[in-house]
Amino acid sequence: MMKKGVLTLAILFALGTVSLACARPHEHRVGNTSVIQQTTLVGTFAGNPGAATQQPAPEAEETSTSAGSSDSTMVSATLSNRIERAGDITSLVSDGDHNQANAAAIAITGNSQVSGKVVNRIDTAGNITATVEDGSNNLANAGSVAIRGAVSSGKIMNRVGETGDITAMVSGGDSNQANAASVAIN
Amino acid sequence: MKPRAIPALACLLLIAVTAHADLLGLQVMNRAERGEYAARAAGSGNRANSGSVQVEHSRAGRVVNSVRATGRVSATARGDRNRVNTASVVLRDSEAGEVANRVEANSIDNRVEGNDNISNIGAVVLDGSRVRRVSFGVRAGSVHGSIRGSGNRLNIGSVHMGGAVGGTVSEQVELDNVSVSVNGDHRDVAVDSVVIE
Repeated sequence: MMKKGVLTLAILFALGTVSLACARPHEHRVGNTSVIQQTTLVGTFAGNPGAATQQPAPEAEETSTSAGSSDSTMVSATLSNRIERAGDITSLVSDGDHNQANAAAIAITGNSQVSGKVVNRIDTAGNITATVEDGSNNLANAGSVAIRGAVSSGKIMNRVGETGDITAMVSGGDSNQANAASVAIN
Repeated sequence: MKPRAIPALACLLLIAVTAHADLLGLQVMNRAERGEYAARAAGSGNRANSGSVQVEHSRAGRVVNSVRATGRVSATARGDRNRVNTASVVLRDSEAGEVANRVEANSIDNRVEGNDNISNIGAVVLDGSRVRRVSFGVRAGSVHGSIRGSGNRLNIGSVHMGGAVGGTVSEQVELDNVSVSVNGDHRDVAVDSVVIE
């Protein structure tokens, strides 16, 4: 009798595993996800890509995670970005093409597939600003989650509280994008 | 119930719950509180999102955007073919089980100049998307919208469906002191409306 019970349980468990495997898309892990610890950055990108200057903001505590771009990036881990008691958060792209500036943000670009949990949480009394001035195909994120690529499943949460003004601005150029306290999945 | 049936039943329930959770797919949540919110775009073919959720070419289970602003929510577009979203949810060529947008603001201001621009404030826009349920609430003290140019679109506190397959739409809009000024051709203004094209 006991054996029958154990056998039934084993069969049901196997059926459950198979059904879950069928329900989920197949994951081919091509790229990798990097997990880094860093302070809040105020990024200014001007001119050519890569010409960036970054300054740590004072009194910032943050755990930031971002996935780099590649031909195909599979992100299945949990990404968490949390900022508390920071000052103003600014992301600025001034001129140039194909630049990206992130501040208090999670950005996953490239041909990405996301199936994990992505959490961006900010509690700051300062202002959050994302600006693109001229140029083309630039992206500025402030207090946002921006994903370019396919998103299959998982949970994406962007929570911004206790802030000052939140501004997203594109003041010229073509095909640019500015996100402030937003979620953008393209 | 026989004792051996209990673990079997528990296993069956576990399978149902986990399988359902997986089928829910992507969940997107955006929550912003306090402060003033502004989105501005100038030039051509640009996008500016402020306190908004924008989803393209994706499948989502639940999309929630919650904005509570003590100050002013504003969006400005100048130029051509710009997309400006403030406190809005925009789905393009996507699927979602539920879309919820809740907006509370002291005042809402929206200005568009140029041609073929789209400006959304406190709106839900479904473009070529399939959504089972849309719930939508906007509360604002004063609202001002102005568009100048041709082929511009201005959505305030509205649900707009273009080529969308929608299910249930429920909305609750409380707007005081609404003023809209329009200049140009082929403009499209929607305030506290449901528009299906």
